[in-house]
Amino acid sequence: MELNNSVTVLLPGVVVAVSAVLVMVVDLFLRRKDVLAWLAAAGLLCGAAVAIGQWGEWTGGAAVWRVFTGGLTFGGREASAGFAGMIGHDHFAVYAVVLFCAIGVLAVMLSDEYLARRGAARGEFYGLLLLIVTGMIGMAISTDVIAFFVSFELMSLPTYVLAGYIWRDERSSEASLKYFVTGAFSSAILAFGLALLYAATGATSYAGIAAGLARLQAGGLAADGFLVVAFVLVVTGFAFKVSAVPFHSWAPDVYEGAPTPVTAFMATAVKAAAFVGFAKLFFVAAGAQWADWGHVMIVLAILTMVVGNVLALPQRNLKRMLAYSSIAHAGYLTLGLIAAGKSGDTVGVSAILFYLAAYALMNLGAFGVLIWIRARRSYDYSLDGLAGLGRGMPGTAILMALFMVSLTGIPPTVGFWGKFYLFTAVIQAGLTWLAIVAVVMSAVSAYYYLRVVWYMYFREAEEGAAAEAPAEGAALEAGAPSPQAGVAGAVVIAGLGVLIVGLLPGPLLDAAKGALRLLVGG
Amino acid sequence: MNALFWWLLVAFLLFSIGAFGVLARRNVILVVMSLELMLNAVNLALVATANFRAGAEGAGVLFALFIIVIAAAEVAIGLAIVIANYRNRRTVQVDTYDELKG
Repeated sequence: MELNNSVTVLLPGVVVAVSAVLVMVVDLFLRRKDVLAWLAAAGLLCGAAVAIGQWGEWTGGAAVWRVFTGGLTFGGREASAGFAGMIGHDHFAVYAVVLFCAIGVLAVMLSDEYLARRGAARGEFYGLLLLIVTGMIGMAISTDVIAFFVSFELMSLPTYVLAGYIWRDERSSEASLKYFVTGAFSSAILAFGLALLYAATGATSYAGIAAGLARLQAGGLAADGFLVVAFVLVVTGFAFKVSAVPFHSWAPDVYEGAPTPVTAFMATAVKAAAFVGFAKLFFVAAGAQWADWGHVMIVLAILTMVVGNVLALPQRNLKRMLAYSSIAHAGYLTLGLIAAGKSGDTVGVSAILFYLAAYALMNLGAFGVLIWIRARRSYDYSLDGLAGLGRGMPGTAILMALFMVSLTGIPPTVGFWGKFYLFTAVIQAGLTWLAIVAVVMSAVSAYYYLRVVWYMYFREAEEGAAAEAPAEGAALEAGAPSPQAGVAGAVVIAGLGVLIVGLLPGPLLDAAKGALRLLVGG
Repeated sequence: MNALFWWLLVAFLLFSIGAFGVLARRNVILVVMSLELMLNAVNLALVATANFRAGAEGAGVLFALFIIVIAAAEVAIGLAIVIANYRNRRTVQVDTYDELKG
């Protein structure tokens, strides 16, 4: 039995959206709020399972899958479009869906303890989180600018709320306001860009836009001022969302003020969704015109890498440092877009997909360690607060060191392979000098990442701080059913992921390459 | 110059006025109003294109409808955030929001 095509394309998103509603309804009837986290994680896992099943059906694993589902197939045909071409189904989208759901699960695990500690364990948090993931899934499957923009907003609006979730906290509410104003401003810019693109090409579907642009180019109108304005506006909207320089100024403030699990989620999932959604928009809709605006992207990438890395150097608040580091990583990721556009093949985009997964693991891990330390003792997210951690909490310190090494891009961690594939793609595209700039900037980043390691191991804790840290390991190993277990679990999963994928990058790379077998234009 | 060009010019002017408001205003309520102006400029551009451009898909009107809904959701969330901030600080002047910097 096969489901209707429109339904199969949307199925993972539907599963996550239904879970969002379910979480909020169950919240009304339950006093025990820790159940909600389980429910939210289960919803995300179901969404991911459906997506993995669809991937499996397309690549020939159908028989096994049917046993589980009693003959019902979820996959539909690959490359099928749903809802009058608004959304389309391909490996690319499915890869992204699995990535978003996985990040969502880790974020839920990180949130539980934090919310309980701040006295804010309410159902809305998980409901909104799941809605954000729904929006992200929408961005990955949309093949029409209308669906794209609606999904973009479905992702953005709940994020503003989550940033200010601890709204009695001045810093959280201020972060929320700053994020809202810059985010809504950039959405409006993006919307105007899309409207002008529609005015120039007469179409809203990616395929229609591509055809319209080809017509304009044939008529010698590709460099029309009108179209340039449209492109500049769309790229500006993209740059705001991924916090590329010069549209990055909101990121450090928002990342610092937002609740830490939300920061971790924003830095990884929202950035991943923006890259996935815009990569599809750029390559399916505007691939032919890429040469014209690749230059703009090169400037954007260099500025982003340089400013992000240099401004991260003096930061002594770790949340702020990771914010600047995430700006720098947006620069590396933009390199992948440039490479893919320049060389005309998809190596750059698969490098982006690989890097997004790698970046999510190490960044979630780093934020998770901060949450874990904060759960165990008083900690203000400062660099000095980490002094003596190597002795006080040895397990935590090792994991933190692992994440920092991975963020720097040193083997045998996943961060190394991520950068390796990205920079290789750039060199293959004939932009060796750009790869050299990126490598130099990675070397700069080593200073602030490895300084964290230095503080943990070679700086003595101030009086009292070390004594205050309770004996570690007990909760980690006993797997006590406390909310802290979720944080520990997420950090350990991220750490194992960083190591295992770092040692065996093959399967993930194959998946990232397989994701680009076919990019549907609808 | 056809009719569409003038409509888009008006839309662009409205959009610029809104953008200027977002960047220059110090009162958050006025910033939110300017954001709405920007989105309405987008609607104008979309509807004008759907109406006047030869060979355009009619989807522009649909897009405008979606943007109207999104704008409503956005203003609801925005004002809620403004109220949360107002309760914390008793002011809506953006230049006083300087807890986070560095």
